[in-house]
Amino acid sequence: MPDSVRIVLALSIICLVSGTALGGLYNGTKERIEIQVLENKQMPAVRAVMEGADNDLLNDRKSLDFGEKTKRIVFPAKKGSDLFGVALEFSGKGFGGDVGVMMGIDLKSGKLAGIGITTMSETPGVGTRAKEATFTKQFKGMSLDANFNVKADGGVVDAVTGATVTSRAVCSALRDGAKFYKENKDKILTGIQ
Amino acid sequence: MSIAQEFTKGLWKEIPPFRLVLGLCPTLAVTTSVENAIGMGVSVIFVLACSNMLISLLRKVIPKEVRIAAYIVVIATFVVAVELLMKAFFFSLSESLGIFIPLIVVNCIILGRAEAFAGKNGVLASAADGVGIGTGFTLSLMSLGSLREIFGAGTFLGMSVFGPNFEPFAFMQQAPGAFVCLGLMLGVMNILGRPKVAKA
Repeated sequence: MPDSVRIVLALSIICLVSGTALGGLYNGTKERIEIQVLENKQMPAVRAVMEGADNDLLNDRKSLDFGEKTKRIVFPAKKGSDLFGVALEFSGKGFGGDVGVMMGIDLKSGKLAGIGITTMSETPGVGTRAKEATFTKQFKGMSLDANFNVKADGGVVDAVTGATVTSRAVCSALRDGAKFYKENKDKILTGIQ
Repeated sequence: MSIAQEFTKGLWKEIPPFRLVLGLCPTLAVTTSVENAIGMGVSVIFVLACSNMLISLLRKVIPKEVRIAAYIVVIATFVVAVELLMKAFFFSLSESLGIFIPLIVVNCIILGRAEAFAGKNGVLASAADGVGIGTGFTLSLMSLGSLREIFGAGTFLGMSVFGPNFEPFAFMQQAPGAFVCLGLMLGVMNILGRPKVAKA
């Protein structure tokens, strides 16, 4: 066998075996990793905004199709058999990348039940303060029609001091979320029944 | 050298990063706490032992012209496996180690052992070499991690060491603290390991 063929063959076989093995491992761990990511990133925020829910928020999640290529995970919240709220995640562009905002909606009043920050890579100690309750609690009970802008931009939101960009990211996520919810309300409601 | 010697040389005589002074990037970056150090160390032991064994098994098959490429494929396979398994079973650890787990691929300790040892020696000796060097690396990370966590955060494995009144020396947790710590450790190692000069 000429040298060149031997080299190509050896390297190809090594790559093939490696690729197959990793493909198998990826498929085997995919589901568990997905649950781990949800449990560690989204669930703390879902639990915080859906206060009082007694269903298994993680396992009751639903993945709904909203037209082409837009799948969203929604988290219905129940108390007993009473479906009272739903949480959805949206994101806005912050100082260091996307800021994920979990938006809890109270189905009875149609208002915000609360918001929680899921993922962010903002400046530690400045932008990350948007995670704290002092900032997030102001959204509880706000109408979805509220002007989600920081006060400096003419809206109703008290920005985190020194972290206007992060606060704006949260506002933009909420604007998107409110718009999305209003447009797809029926679909979401039938989807989580 | 016997199998036992192949193992123990990694613990002192050729201990990375203090003796070989290889793999400094993760050494400096992840040693902010003992937990991170152990997580990183165990991942490296696993990758190093597996890749050493496999490369030693394949050393007659791999054409020498493309051996580096073949080694990298083998190493990368094990690293990705570690990354997936860590995400699935130790999620918070994988979050705190972040990019440094995938970066084990380019850790020169591992490629160095493949090239300098596993490519030329038997499977058992290569396994012993991998586990030994890996353990040495883990011990180094743990000693640095302990120093930086105890003085920088006042804790050891998350438990308070000095009580509530201790003001942490935050410098130790930051990058410059890592360099200073590593420098001091290298100095101590050099004093301890200096060859004895016969008195005239």
